[in-house]
Amino acid sequence: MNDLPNSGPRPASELEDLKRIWATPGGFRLLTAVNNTVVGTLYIGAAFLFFVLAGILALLMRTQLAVGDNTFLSQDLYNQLFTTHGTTMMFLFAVPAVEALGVMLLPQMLAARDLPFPRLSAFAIWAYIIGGLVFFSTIFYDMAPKGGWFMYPPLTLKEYSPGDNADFWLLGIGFIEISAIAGAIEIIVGVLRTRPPGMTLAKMPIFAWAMLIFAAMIVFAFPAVILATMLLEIERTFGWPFFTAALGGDALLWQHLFWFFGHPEVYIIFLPAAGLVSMMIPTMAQTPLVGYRLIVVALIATGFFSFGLWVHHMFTTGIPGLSLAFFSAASMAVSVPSGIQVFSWIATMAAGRQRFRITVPSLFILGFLFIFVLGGLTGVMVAVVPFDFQAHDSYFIVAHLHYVLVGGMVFPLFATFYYWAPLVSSRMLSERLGKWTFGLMFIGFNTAFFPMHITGLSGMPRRVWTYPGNLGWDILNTISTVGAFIMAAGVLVFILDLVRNFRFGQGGVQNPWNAGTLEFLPNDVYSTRSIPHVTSREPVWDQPGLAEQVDQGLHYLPNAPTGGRETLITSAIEAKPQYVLQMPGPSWSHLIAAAGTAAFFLLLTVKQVNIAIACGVLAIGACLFWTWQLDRPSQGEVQVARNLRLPTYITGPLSHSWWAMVVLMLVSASLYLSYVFAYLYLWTVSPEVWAPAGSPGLPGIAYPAISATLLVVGTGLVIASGKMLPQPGRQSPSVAALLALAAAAMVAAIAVEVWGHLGTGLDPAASSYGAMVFMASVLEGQIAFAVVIMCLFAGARAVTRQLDRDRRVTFDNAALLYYYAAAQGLFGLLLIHGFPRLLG
Amino acid sequence: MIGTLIFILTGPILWAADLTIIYGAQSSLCAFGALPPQIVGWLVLAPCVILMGLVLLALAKPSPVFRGLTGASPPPEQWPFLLSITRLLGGISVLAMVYFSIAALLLPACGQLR
Repeated sequence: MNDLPNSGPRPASELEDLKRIWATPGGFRLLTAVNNTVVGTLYIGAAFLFFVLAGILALLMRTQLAVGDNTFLSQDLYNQLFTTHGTTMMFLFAVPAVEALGVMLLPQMLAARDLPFPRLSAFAIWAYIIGGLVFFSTIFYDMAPKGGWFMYPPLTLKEYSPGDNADFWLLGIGFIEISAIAGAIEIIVGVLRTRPPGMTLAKMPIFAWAMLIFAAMIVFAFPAVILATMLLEIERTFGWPFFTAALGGDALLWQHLFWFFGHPEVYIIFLPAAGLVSMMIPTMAQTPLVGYRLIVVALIATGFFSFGLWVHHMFTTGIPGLSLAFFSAASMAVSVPSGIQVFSWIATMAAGRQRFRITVPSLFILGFLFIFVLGGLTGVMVAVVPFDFQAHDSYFIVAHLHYVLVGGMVFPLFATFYYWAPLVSSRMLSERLGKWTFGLMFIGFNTAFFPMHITGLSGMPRRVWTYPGNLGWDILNTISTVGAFIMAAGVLVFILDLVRNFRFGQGGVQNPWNAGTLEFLPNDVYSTRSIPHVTSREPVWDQPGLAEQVDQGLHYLPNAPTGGRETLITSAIEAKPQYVLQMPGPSWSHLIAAAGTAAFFLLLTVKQVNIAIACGVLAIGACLFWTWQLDRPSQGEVQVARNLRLPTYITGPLSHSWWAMVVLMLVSASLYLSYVFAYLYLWTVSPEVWAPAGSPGLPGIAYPAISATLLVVGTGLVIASGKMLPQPGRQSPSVAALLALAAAAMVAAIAVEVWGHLGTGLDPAASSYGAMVFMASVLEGQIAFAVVIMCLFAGARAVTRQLDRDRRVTFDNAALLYYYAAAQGLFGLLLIHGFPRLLG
Repeated sequence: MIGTLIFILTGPILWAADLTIIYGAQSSLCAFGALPPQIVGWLVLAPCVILMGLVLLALAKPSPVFRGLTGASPPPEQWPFLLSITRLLGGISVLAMVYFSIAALLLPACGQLR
């Protein structure tokens, strides 16, 4: 016992303090809760609600398609149904569900008290719930989008899709993606910095690896579709012709941007599910995962290769053969790591100390293996270009994508519900009802989707609202419809199981499956009583007595030394304790900010600009109020273990907020690189509209020179203000003034750039070149808006004695973003003014 | 941390560079018809060979690469894990680059093939 970080018995007051500090708010104040178990459960519940709602839409579609020449649904409503079904499943169910599992399970698996930005998680979740519900409700009043979940132009341009339907998709989904990015930042910093001491990268649970890669993929994939939605919405609203071929745009630009996001999206959904499977199989086999390192390699390789596959959704668009071959090759390559995982799971089942236990989670895992492998095999088929030419846009693809997504994500998710329910429910779900659920879902799924392979090969195209009854497709479609309803019955049994047995709260069975990982240690609202020192990948199996030691407070941080919510921050690779992070608690501010943000975007959709701006201001105000409370002063060093004292305030590259800001900068850089790709792509497509030959010439070199000088001077002002930060407790109006000047310099730099182009007579609506030139300023203006707010915010804190040489996180964040924005601005000037000059 | 991350991802990063270079070069050179297709084919193959060589070199001499990227010696406790992950990822990346090369060898550089 002397080897343990702390000695016992611990004072009883420590546990009382933890319970009081981490207590879940009661009554209507439950809405203000930020604990991961509360918001994580809410998140999963919302995602499951969207799964059920989108499933009901699928049943309506299957009813329409059950027989040929059916008139159960109108063509227009059918178009809205399949668009809303796909959009809801992909954006409102699949990604949020796995992100929700990360929010809920990661703190428990890492034995952290919570992830490092709990209010950010809660903000993202509420924004998603409000925005998602409003988006889904459009189906009830004939305002849902009709362009498919991929929203291809030119069909979705104003000319062919008048009304606000498409705008709901573009603004609603665009902003929900922002909430997904907020969650991704939380997960990256959480996995890398809140692991328990001793949990090196080599000892990290596979689910944490999967979530780390998942979040990194969101950072690099989602900005592409955010840019695409911005471009399309701007074209619909202001007529800037990014996608109109007659003015130098290209509809294929949308496909490139969309699928650069859309293909990784498949793996964004699949990898966390694979991570969950890699956690459950060892428990059911009661043996460590076979090939842990190979699985880590497979996850990383899949994440990387998935970014090289986007063109395999575009094989029939007329791209040259060798280009197609590159993406066909990459599609083949990605099947290698997927295969590694499947063989590793089978080997683990075979290597078990006892026979693989057949429980409800095991059944869903076996079902997953069967379905996903079939989906993978048809994936290899459609990666073969000539085969894809035949199967493209047919029901074969519908079968393939459902085998991959339902097999790869939904079945593991249901396994997860049964396996991890004891973490948040005082009662376990029923094994009997669970087996019924599995049986109905498995039989129903295969009955519904297997015939679609044949329907597709028989020539039935996708997205048709009905078909002639004499083409031989009727019986296959009828079977599919019967299968869909059987599968729905399975989901219904699951809901019945939830109603009968799910009871939110602690006090359930401890470690019912005899798992080896930390989430099954004794838990309460504060997570584990103390944060364990970890020496293996399955610490509960390999460290005898760990559960009792942790529960007696004999490991790290058994108390609340700062008197508030806190968790341990460790180093990213070796997981060595570095400092104690003071965390925020329940608040209304993030909730108001989420509601305001959702209202801002959704009201813009229906062109209620003034009210939208008011809601936007409200959201920013709530964010400022929320962040004003975050940068708490140091409490000095506190005792977290017998021989370990740690600081309670850290700045610079060790700080968790520095990491979050760096990830945010990566998101911004991804967005901007997507823009650079779009600029160069449109140039290759339509060089005839590019300056100087096809458009008004560039403004004189003085304009970009002044703009660049302003950016450089602004950067210098920020650096100078950093050197002038006052001693603790001192006011500094000069720092505030310098930061305000720096912000003004950035705004002026953008104004000069725009003014210069306007002076040449360049019209953004006249050609894709003009649109692209002004879009650079739009993107720079967007980030400058954030920079201005952050600079003024830091300045306000300097004036109110809350920013000084020691307590400087607010300044550091503003400065980092300023440097990034200035660099992006300079690069943009080089591109916009240099590239056409290079062309001559 | 950043250096260690880049070290682990040496293979996939060079694979991504390969795809960017060969797809960007082939599609733009073919679009503008700037060079004869045979030259384009060789220009596509060359980066594959060079980048595969770089990956294999990094796998053969990992310690200097690690030191170059991180400015520190490999951490003894973490090294076996980091090295095996790096090598396995490098191996898979080389395989994927071989797939690219086979395509470049077998197919005409600028044909629509339909």
